[in-house]
Amino acid sequence: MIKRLFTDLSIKKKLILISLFTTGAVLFLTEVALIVKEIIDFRHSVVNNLTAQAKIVGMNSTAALLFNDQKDAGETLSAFKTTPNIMRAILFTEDGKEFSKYKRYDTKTEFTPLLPQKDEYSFGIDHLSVFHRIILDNKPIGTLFIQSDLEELYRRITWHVGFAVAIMVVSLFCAFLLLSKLQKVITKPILELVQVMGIVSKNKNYSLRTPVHSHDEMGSLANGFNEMLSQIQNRDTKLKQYSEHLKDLVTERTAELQKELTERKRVEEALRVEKNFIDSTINSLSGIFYMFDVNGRFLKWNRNLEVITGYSTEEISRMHPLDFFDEEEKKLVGKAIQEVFVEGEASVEANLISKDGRKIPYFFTGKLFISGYQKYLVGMGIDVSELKQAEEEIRKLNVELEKRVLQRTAQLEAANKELESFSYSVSHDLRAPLRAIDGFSRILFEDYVEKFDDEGKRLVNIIRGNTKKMSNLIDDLLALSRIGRKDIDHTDIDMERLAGLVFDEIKATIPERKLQLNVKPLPSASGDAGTIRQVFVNLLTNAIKFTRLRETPIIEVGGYIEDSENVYYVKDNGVGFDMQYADKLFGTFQRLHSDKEFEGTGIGLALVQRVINRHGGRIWAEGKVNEGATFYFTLPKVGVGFLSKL
Amino acid sequence: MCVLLVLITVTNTYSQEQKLGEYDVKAAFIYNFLKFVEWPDKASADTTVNLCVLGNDPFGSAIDSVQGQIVNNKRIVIKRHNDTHALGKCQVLFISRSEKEQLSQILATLTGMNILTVSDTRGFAEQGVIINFYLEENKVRFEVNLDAINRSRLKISSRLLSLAKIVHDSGR
Repeated sequence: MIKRLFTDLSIKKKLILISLFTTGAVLFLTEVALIVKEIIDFRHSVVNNLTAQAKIVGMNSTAALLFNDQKDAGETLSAFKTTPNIMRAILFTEDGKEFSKYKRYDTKTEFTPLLPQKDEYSFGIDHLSVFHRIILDNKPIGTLFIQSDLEELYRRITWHVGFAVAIMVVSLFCAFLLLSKLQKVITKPILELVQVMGIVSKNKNYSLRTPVHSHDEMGSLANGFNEMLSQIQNRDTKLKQYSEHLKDLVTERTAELQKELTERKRVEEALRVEKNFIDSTINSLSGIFYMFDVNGRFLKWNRNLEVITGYSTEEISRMHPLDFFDEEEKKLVGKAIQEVFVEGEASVEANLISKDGRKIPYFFTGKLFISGYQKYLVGMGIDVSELKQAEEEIRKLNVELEKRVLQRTAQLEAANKELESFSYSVSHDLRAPLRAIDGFSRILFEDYVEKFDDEGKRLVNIIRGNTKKMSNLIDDLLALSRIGRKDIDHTDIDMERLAGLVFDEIKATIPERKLQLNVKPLPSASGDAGTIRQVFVNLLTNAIKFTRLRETPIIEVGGYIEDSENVYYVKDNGVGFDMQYADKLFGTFQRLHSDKEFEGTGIGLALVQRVINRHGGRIWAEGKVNEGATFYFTLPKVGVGFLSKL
Repeated sequence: MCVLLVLITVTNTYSQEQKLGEYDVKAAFIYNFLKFVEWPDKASADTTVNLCVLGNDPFGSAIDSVQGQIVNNKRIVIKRHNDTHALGKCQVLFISRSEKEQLSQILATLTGMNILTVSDTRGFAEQGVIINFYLEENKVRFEVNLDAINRSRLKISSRLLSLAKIVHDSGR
């Protein structure tokens, strides 16, 4: 309160107050010291005075004490009447008995002091007590007790204090008068400064200056203030310029911030959408989704995990991934989890144990996901119970199928063998009667030719021709069946050379024919040399046969490598065929031309097909009526050993 | 010393004084007188104070308690005399009642000697004995002959005198 009052005062009043207070305090302390010294001195003198009186009276009482004269002692003590400040005096014998006493007229109370063994004094609130031992001839003979009031002391104190107060009042008044005049030296320049400051701060007029009167601190202050004003004036001008610029900057920045804010909102919205999308995706997964850290603490999972396992959200948040597996599989799954954190990826198949103890086969995947410094495992689990079931069924079916195939193969093999042996035996058995017919018809023709007329000769020739034809047929049939029974003996074959050789051999049998053969480079093959040779024999014979009507028959043999097989072809510019019947070309006894047009047994191409098939290749033909035909066949590439079972 | 203190103590009550005996008190008083009396310089060199009893000794053993006490740095010695021959060495002389007839003669012998004379017989003070005991209301009091003091050249303290009854020589 006092402090606030003081701060609100003007500097003039403060100066006066401070000076008055200082002066007052010094005066006060000085006077207090003087008074205290006075009191101490006076107390000393009172004690000395009283002690002296006690000594005199004590000496005067010796005889009375020794000669037991109380009357005389009483007279001695009554001498105190002349000193009115003595309240009472008591004379005691050496054994402590009261011998004589004196009381001032106004002292009413009785008083028995405790006697000390030596001289002493004591101050009470309103009295001073003195004890004096009376000694005669070195022997104590009694004690005198004197009590004095302290009115004199108090009177003196009162007087001193009054005097001090008076001095103080006068001094302070004089000081006040002096200060009222002197303070102007300091306050005047301050007040001027304050006035100028008031005007400046009110009107913002920084061109004003305060007058400088002296060279002391006040002068420096005024100078400093003036300098400050000029600086402010300068700065004010600059500030105005800046503030214009600043306004533009603020506008610009506000616009930027607005833009940034919009952008941020957009990004946040996008993030939110993204998050929703991720959450929806996770929850829409048909399998279970999970994400946990290195310590196995789940951070994210989808509803499926809760639905399938039967654990609540709260429970899962406290569970470890391995809690979902039984003891045997924990090791396996743990290893997979570790692998994810080390290698980055792993999968495992294990049974998920639900809360009610059901075992569900699951396929789990895990991928390492690093966010900041944290590693997480993110993965999915797919229910594979149906897959497992299907797999099992397929496996069963496969076994069944294999069994059936084997059965069927055996059956087929048996049938085939039967057929082959049948056709072989038929062909073989047919040879004997045919030889007989051939032999006898030859004898008939050679030995009885003059006996036949022309018609007879013609008929015999027909028999002879047909016999020859039938012999060829049987040869072909036997070859065909041999192929079926014979094992293929693989050797490397120079196909180009083989084709050339076969052609030359055939050509030698029909020297009248004018033939042109173009052999292109052929990839070599691996196969049974005898049968492959038969393929070329049959295909080239065919080509020569069907180009008979051409002026310049051209036959081309070529080949190329395609994928895993070698493709070969034999091309001619003969009569060709209708593609409609292409599939009938390779059937046994199937012929597209009559025997009159082109002779043949109808077995050649069937034989070729059989050889190629047995080598694991394919055969087909392309052609057009009167525009030639091309026969293609394939053989597995060299080195790719293949043995067809069929 | 102790006995003396006891003596002084007991003098305060009458009943005890009666029991204690009149001469016990008187012996103590004589001892106390020594403290208030000053002898001329020539006697001060002595280390003893001779307390002499002339005539029939009324004290008996009462005076013996004073024997050997120290007063003003001097030891008290009790001496008993039957004649005046060797009185020159006494500082204090108690003149017994038995010497009533020869008193003036004795006093004449003592002229010029610095002896404090003490008695307890009525009329002795007026005849020239310095201090004479008497009884007042059963209390032992004493009278002092100022003329005798002047003659003896002893100095007696005014404090002692203030307690005493002052008398003068009867003849003058």
